[in-house]
Amino acid sequence: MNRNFDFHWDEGGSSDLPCAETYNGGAAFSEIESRIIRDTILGIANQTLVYLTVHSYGQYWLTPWGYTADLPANYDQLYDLAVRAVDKLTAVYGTQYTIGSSTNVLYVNTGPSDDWAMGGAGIPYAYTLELRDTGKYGFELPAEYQVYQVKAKDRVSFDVLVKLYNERSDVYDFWTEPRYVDFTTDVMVPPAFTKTFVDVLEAFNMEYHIKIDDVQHTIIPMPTMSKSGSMSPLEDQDKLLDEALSVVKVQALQMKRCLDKRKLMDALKHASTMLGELRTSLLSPKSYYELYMAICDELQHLEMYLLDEFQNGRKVADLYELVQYAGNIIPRLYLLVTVGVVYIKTNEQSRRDILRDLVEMCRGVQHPLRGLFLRNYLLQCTRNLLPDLAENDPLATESYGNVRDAVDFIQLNFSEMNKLWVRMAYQGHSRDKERRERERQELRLLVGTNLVRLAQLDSVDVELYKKVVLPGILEQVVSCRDALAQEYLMECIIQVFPDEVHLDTLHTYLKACAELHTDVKVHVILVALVERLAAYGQRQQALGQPPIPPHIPLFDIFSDQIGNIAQARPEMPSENLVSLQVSLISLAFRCYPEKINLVDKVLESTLVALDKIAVEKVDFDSALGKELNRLLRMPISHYNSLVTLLQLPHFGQVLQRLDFNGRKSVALHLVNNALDNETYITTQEHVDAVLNMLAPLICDQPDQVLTGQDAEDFAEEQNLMARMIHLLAAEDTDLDQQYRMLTSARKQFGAGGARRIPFTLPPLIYEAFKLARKYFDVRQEDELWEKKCEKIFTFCHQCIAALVKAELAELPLRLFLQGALAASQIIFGTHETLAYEFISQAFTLYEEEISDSKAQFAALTLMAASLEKLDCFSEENSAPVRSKCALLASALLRKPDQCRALILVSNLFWSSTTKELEGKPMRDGKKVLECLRKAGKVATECLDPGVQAQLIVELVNVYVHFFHQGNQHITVTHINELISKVRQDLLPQLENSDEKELIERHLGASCEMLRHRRDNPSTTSDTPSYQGIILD
Amino acid sequence: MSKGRCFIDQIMDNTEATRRLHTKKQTLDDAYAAPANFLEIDVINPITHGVAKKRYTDYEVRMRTNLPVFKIKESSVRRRYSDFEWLRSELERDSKIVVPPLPGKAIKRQLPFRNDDGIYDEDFIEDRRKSLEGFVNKIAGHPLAQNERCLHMFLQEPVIDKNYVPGKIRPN
Repeated sequence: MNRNFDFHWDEGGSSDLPCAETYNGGAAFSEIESRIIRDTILGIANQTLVYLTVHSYGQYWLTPWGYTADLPANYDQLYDLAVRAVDKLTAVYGTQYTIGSSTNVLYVNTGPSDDWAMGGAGIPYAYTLELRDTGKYGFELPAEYQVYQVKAKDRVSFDVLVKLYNERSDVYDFWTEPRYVDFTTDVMVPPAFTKTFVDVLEAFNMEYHIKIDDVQHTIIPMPTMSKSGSMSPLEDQDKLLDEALSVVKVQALQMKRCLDKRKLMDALKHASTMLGELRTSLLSPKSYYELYMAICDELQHLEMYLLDEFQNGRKVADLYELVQYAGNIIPRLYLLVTVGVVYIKTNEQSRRDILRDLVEMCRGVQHPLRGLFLRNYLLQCTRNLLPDLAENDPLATESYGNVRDAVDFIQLNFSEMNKLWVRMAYQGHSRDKERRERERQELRLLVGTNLVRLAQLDSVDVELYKKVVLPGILEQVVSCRDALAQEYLMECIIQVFPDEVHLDTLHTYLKACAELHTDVKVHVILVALVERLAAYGQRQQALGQPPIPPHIPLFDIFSDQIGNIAQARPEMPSENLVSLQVSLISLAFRCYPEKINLVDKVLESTLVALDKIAVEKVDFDSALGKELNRLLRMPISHYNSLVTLLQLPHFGQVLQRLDFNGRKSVALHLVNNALDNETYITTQEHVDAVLNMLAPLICDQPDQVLTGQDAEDFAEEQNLMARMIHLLAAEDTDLDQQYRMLTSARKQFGAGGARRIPFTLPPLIYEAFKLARKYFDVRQEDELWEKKCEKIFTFCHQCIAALVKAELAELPLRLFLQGALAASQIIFGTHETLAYEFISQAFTLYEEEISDSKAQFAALTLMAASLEKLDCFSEENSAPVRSKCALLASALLRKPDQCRALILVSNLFWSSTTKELEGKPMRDGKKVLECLRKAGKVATECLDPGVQAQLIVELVNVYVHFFHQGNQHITVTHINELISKVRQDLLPQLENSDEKELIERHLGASCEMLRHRRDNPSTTSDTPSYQGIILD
Repeated sequence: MSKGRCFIDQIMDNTEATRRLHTKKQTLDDAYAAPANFLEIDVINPITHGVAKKRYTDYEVRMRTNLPVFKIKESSVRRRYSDFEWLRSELERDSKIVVPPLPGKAIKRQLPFRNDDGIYDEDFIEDRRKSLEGFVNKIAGHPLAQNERCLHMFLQEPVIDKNYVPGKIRPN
C-alpha cells in the first residue's frame, strides 16, 4: 500500500512481485484503499497542514522524500516541527525517535503516501511515523498490556501506589486515582514492567488480580458481518428496509423527545444513531432511497429546532465543531450538513466558507450509493442558500461569496457525484451488469439535480455559462467515458438550461458530442436538441421575432457538426446518421421555412453519407431503410406538393438509393399526398420528373420483387396511378402543353407492360378526348385546331392499339367506341373517317377477340348503344354498320341473347341518325319490324317454355314501344298474337313456380298499361289507337 | 474552519512554512478509471458424462481478469470435482495461505440403492457448482495464490498436467 501512491511511483525501492512486502501494486493507485485515501485527502488537502501516516516499526519520524536523497524545499520547517513533536513523545514515554528524510534515514522507497501527500496533494507537512520498537520484536510488538485490579490494604502500600500514580504515570496507567486504603483501583501495565509491578505488589503484600489479560484483544472488536457490495435478494429487501425504518422511527422519536426537553446533546446522539442506518450496504438503491427519505424528514425537525435555538442566541460555531466528532463518517457528515445549513441561515456572512467546507468534506464518503445520497442531501439542504449574486453585486462580499462560488460548489458536487455514479458500474459481478445499469438509471436524477441547480442560479449569465458552467460540465461528462452517464447528462443539459444559451454555445456542445463514448446514441441527443431549438424558433416566430437570431447560423453549425460527428464516429450505424439528417430537415422546416435549398443540402449530405457506406440499394426493412424512408417522407408531408419536391434535385437521387420496396413505398406516399392535396402538374418537364420518381408504380424495375404481391393491392396501386393521371393538368389556356404532357405520360406509362396499362392508359385516353373537346371549344382562337385534334385521335388510337396488343379486348373495344363517339361530336375535317375507323376497329376486335358469349352480348349491347348515339356518319357509312350489327346479333350463340340483341339492334333503325338526316331519327319502321320478327322467331325457337315466355313478354313491350312511337308497320294484331301466344301456349305449359309467377306479373303489368291506353285514348293525333287490343 | 488549523496557525508563525505547495487536483482519468484489479471466475455449465463407474460431472471454469499476473486475460476450461481437490492439495502443500474448504465429497450420495440420482442429482450439482465457484474465487483472489503455478494451470491450461513442476509464477 505504501508503494502504491502516484508520486514518482515505481522509481525504485519497491517491488513488482505481488508477494513482496514492498509490492507496488502493478500500477499507481491500483488499490481501492489507496484510491480512497487519495480521494479523501484531495477533498480536504487545501485546508490541511499536516499529513501523518502511522506505521511500524523503527522509531523514526520521517519526512519526504522517499524517492530521492534530495531534501524537500521546506525541509527546515519540517525538521523543526518534527523535533518539537519528538520532544513531546520522549517526554511522555522516554522513547527516542530518529528524525530525517526517508531516503537518508532508511532507504529509497517510491510511491509512499507521505511523498504523495506532499508532492501530489500539496500538504506542506507530511510525515511518516514509524512506531516502536527498534527491531527486537519488529512489526509484531508483544501486545500484552495487562490490567491489574489492585487494593492497598494498609497505609504503607497505599503510599506506594500513590507514589507510582504521581511519579510513574508514564509507565503505569491508573484508570482510577487511588484515594484511600482498601480502595480498588485499575492499573494498565506495559509488558516490560509487569514483572517489576508484580514484584512491588508482592513486596507490599497488596491484593491484586489480573483483570484483563491482553488489552489489545479486548479493544479490537470482532469483525461484524459486512458483505459489502453484495445486495440481498428481493424478498430480503423489504425485511431489511422495514428493520431500518423501525430503527429510524424509534430514534427519531427519542430525538424529538430530547429536543422537547432541550437536551441537544442527547438528541444529536439519537440523530446520529438514526443516521447510522444509512451506512448499510445491503439495500438496493430503491430501498435505500426510501430509507433516505424517511431520515431526511426527521432531520428537518432537528434543523427547525436548531434554527430556533440559534436565532435565540446559541452559538452555532461550537456545534459545527462538535458534530465533527461523531463516530462514523456517515452520521457525521449528515449532521455537519444539517448544522452547517443552520449556521449559514443564522450567520449570513459565513456562507462561502461553510459551503466550501461541506462540499469538500463529503469526499469522505466514497461508497457510490451512500456518497450519492449524502451529496444529494447536501444539494437539497443548500437549495436556497447558494450565493446567487453577480460578482459585482455590493452584497457579494468576500465571506458571502458570489455566483462563482455557487457554481464552483455545484460543479464540485456534480463531479464527485458523477464519479461515484460512474464507479457504480464496476461494482460486483459483470453478469449483474444489466441490473446495475438499471439501478444506475434509477439514480440518475440524483446526479442530474446538480445541473438543475446550476440552471436555477439567476446570476449565471450567458457569458458565465459559456466560459465556466458549460465547459465544466462537459469536461466531466466527456471524461467519464461512460455511455449511460453521458447520454443522460447531455440530454439533461439540453433540458434544464434555457434555449437562448444553447444557441450561444452550440459549437462547444456539439464538439463535446463528437467526443462521447461510442455506445452513446448521439443522434438521440442531437435530435432532442434540434427539437428544442426548432420549437424555440417557432415560438419566437409566433411572437413576431425572427426564429433564430440572424447572427447565429444555426443550420450551418448543425450541419457542419453533424458532419464532424459522423467523421469522429465511423462506427456509428448509418441509420443513426440518417436520423440526424431527419432532425436537420425538421430544423430547416421550422426555423428556415423559406429556404428550401437547406432541405436539399441535407439530402445531398445524406447522399454523401450513403456513398461512404457503399451500399448499392438500401433494404427497406433495415433500420437504415426505415430512417431513409422517414427522411424522404418528411418533405413530402411538409410541402404537401409534389411540384415543390421537384425543386429538391437530390430528393430523387436519395430515393434511388432505396431498394424496390422502399422506392415503391415512398412513391405510394407521394401519389397519395398528391391526390389528397390535388397537386396539379402543369408542365411536361414536371411530368417527366414526377413519373420518374414514381417509376416503381409505373413500369417494371430491374430489382423488383413482385412475388407474393396481392392482386388486389396491385390493382389498388394502379388505380391510384390512374387517378394521378387526372392531376396532369396544364393551364387552361395552354392546351399544347397539355398535349405534350399527355405524350410524355404515354411514353412512361406505355412502358408499364400488359399488367399495368389497362389501368393507366384508359384515363390517359379519356384525358386526350377531353383535350380534343377543349380544342374544339376554342376553335376560333387556334387555326391549327383541326390538325391538333387529328393528332390527338391518332394518339388515342395508338394507346388503344397498345391495349389490343396487350391481348385485351373488351377494354379497347369500349375505348374505340368512346373514341368514335368523341370524334363524332367534334366536328372537324376528317372526323367521320376517324369515327368510322374507330368503329370498324371495334367490330374487328369483336370478331377476332371476343369469343365468350356473355362478353359478346355485352359488347354488342355497347356497340349498339354507341351506334345509336353516333351522328356523324353518312348513310353510306351508317347502313353497313347497322346491318353488320344485326348480323352479329343473329350470330350470337345463345338464343335468348340473339333475341335480345336483335331487339337492341332494332332501335338502330328507329332512333339513330345520319349526316344526311341532320340529326333527325331514322324511323325505318320496316326494318324495325323485320328485326323484331326475327327476334320473335328466335324466341319461339327456344325450347324452354319459360324462357320463351319471358322473351315474348319482353317482345310485347318492345312492340308496344314502337307502336306507341308511331311505327306504322306495327299493328295491334302483332301485339295480340304475342299476348295470346304467351297466355294460351306457353303459360299453361309451365308448372306453378316463381318463374311463372314472375312472367305472369310482367305480362299483367304490360296488359294493365295497354288497357289503360285503350280505355283512355289520347286526344293528340300522333299517338296510335289501341282499339282492338285483346287483353283477356 | 477546523480547530486544528487555528492551533497550527498559532504555533507556526512562519508564514513561509504554511504556504500551499502546488496542489495537484485529482486528474479526470484517475477519477473515472476502471479498477485495475478485475477478476471474475464463473463455474457454469455442468455436464455429466459417461455411464456407470465411469460417470462423472464436469464444469466449465471461465475466467476474466485484467490482473497482470495472469498472462491470458480470458480463459475457459472444463474441470471436475477431483481437479478442484487436486488444486486444493497443491495449494495446501506449496502456498502459505489458508486454503478454504471444498464442498463435501457427498459420500452418502454415492452409496448404492438410492431412490434419486445420487451425486448426479440436478439440485446437488447446482449446490456443488455454487460452492466450487465460491471456492475458486476466494483462492484466485488471493495475491499469494496468484503466484502458484498450479492455480494458473488449473485456470488456464486445457489439460492439467499432474506431473508438473510446482513453483511460483514470476511476473516477467
